[in-house]
Amino acid sequence: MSTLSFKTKVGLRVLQIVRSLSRMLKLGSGSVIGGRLLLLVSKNALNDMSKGKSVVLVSGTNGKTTTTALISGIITGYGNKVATNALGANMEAGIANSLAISLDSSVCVFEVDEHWLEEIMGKTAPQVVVLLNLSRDQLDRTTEVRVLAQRWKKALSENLSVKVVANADDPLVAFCASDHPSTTWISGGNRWLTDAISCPNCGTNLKIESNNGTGIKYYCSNCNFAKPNPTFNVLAKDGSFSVAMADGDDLLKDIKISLPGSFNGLNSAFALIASKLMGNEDLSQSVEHITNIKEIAGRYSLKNVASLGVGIRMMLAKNPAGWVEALNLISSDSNPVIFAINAEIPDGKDPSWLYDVPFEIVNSKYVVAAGKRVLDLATRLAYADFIFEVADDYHNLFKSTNFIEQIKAIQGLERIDLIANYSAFQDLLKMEFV
Amino acid sequence: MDSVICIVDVLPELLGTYGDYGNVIVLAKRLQLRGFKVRIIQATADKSIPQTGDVYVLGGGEDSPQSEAAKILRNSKSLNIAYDNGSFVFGVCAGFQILGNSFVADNKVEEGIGLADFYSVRGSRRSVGELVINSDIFGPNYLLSGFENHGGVTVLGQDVEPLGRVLIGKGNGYNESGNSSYKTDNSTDPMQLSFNKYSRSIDDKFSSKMTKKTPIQFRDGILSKRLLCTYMHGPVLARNYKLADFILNQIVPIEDEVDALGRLNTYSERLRTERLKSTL
Repeated sequence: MSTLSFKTKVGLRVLQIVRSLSRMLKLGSGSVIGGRLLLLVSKNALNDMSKGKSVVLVSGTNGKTTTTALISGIITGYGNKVATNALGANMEAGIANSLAISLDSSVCVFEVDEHWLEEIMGKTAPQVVVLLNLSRDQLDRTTEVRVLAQRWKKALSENLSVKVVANADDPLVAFCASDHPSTTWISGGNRWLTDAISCPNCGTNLKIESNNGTGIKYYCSNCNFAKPNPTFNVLAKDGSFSVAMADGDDLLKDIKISLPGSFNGLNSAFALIASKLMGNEDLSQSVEHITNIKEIAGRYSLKNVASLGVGIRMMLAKNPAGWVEALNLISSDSNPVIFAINAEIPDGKDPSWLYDVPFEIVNSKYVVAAGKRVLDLATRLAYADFIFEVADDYHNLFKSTNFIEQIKAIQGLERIDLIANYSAFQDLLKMEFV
Repeated sequence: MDSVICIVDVLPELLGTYGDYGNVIVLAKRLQLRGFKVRIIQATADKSIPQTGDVYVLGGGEDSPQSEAAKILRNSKSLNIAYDNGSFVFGVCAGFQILGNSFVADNKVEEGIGLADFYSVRGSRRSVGELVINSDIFGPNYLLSGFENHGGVTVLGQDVEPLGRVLIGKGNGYNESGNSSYKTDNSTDPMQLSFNKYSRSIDDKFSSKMTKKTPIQFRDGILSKRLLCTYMHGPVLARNYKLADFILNQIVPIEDEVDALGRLNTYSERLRTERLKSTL
């Protein structure tokens, strides 16, 4: 605290007042507005507050919140006090606020919005940066993904001392980090290559081989761009994962985790390797701290619905790559599913991407379409040959005798899955279903 | 109906950024439900582009994939040959621009494949939002609704007709009759065109727009016998099923009302109406 500048100290005082007021008036935590005021008073607050702390940053289109929570879980498990933005406020103001309220922490684990990575790296001088993936997301208000990749590449070239943990199976990530002198490469498969079919370096179509959801191979036939040699290979399945050295030596074998989906096995591996680079060398010990994590910021939580006798598993999918993973997760059972789509500002105002999602792979399921853009979704589902219901109101849905009868008639019913995009998910998380 | 209708999805890995495959799904499904056999060819860059497709669909893309796609199409000439031999071509956004004489990507002027006489330049700001147009194909009773997200301004040659007049949004961002809202920087070089602030007011209601000819009315897309292009990006045919059927009718005679299409038409129509209302 004593190393903080006068301005930052004043800013922190302002932030405290905003937080107290916001709580008193029941306006929420005041986290982003508090962070903004802090930065207004002291624009170097983030540099100031992060000085002397170990910092890990996690960025990518999908998996940021989960991977951040897992790293945070591991580092906390070793007895460290961690500052983290667990609720996903991942731009400068949110990060500044998270740090301000945990000033006595020794380690910072922050998820960073893809568009803010350059800036936050510059201000926090991280020891480790985790680069998960890059794919199309909210194209109406953000940069097309290749422009973003260029910016990441530049940010890394300006931070040569940072240790990078990068996804070798994402050609755009590989393009960003392949020149960096300290990159640890993780290979664990990639189901979404649609944004990286042409070479990020020269534009020629990449040759992609053996993409079976585990490891992939790709290279450019025109320039020398190719998949980097993995440092670690990950075999992730729904509910378990293994990590091996590139030469084949197993480091972790069939570790059971409580989070569903092979993508969370891969996220777990990223978290473990990032923690290793922070000094927690023993992966077997580290993994103990995350195997029991069952939900993250409401994701994968089970909501009870009294009228049905089964729970609703809450899942978030914000963009085509996220939906591909979520649909794969639910494709092998007969449980019904509710899809909910909004197109508010945080979701992107244009749901054209619904046609990039291969809904067809689950079109034998009983489906309910919901959300503020339910007609976009319903049209998409109709073209994908679904039999579905349209829910204009969630509460009425769970009281509808037709819905209850349909659900109860399903053989082997274990639960209802719910997959929603960002603001639809937030709406649903707040609701009590009865 | 033994013949197979062939839909060619042109370079989908380069021109498919905005859910553009939706247009292929819609065309195929609407043919199948009418009893036609359909073949979809994903003409990716590692394969040769067929020259005998019935309809070619080109979607949107980022700058460098757009340039790459144009290069491939210029070199192979397959699309030009198919078009000259009577195939129908449907181009959206970046896929629209490629079909003209030239376009701008990554700040460079790129040569198009010249299926029709038009060119595109870079506007001074990106156009993002709902796009509503009134096309002579359907008259004022069926407005076309889409979403645009592009930085281009497209200028049509003398003999090229637009798809329609823009009521909401920007579309081509240009009106060839002279009343445009662009500065030409006192230059005769069309490449110097720069886009001024869009001057329409959002509270003009559709009805007044249709009855009163406004002095500045942008055009959207192009329409000729075998070529239809628009800036309404992504799955525009899902939202406007009549436009999908219009295209199909150019390829093969189709029945208008088919029971099997009822559900698709109902949702599509409800969606189009909801989006139109959202812009009022």
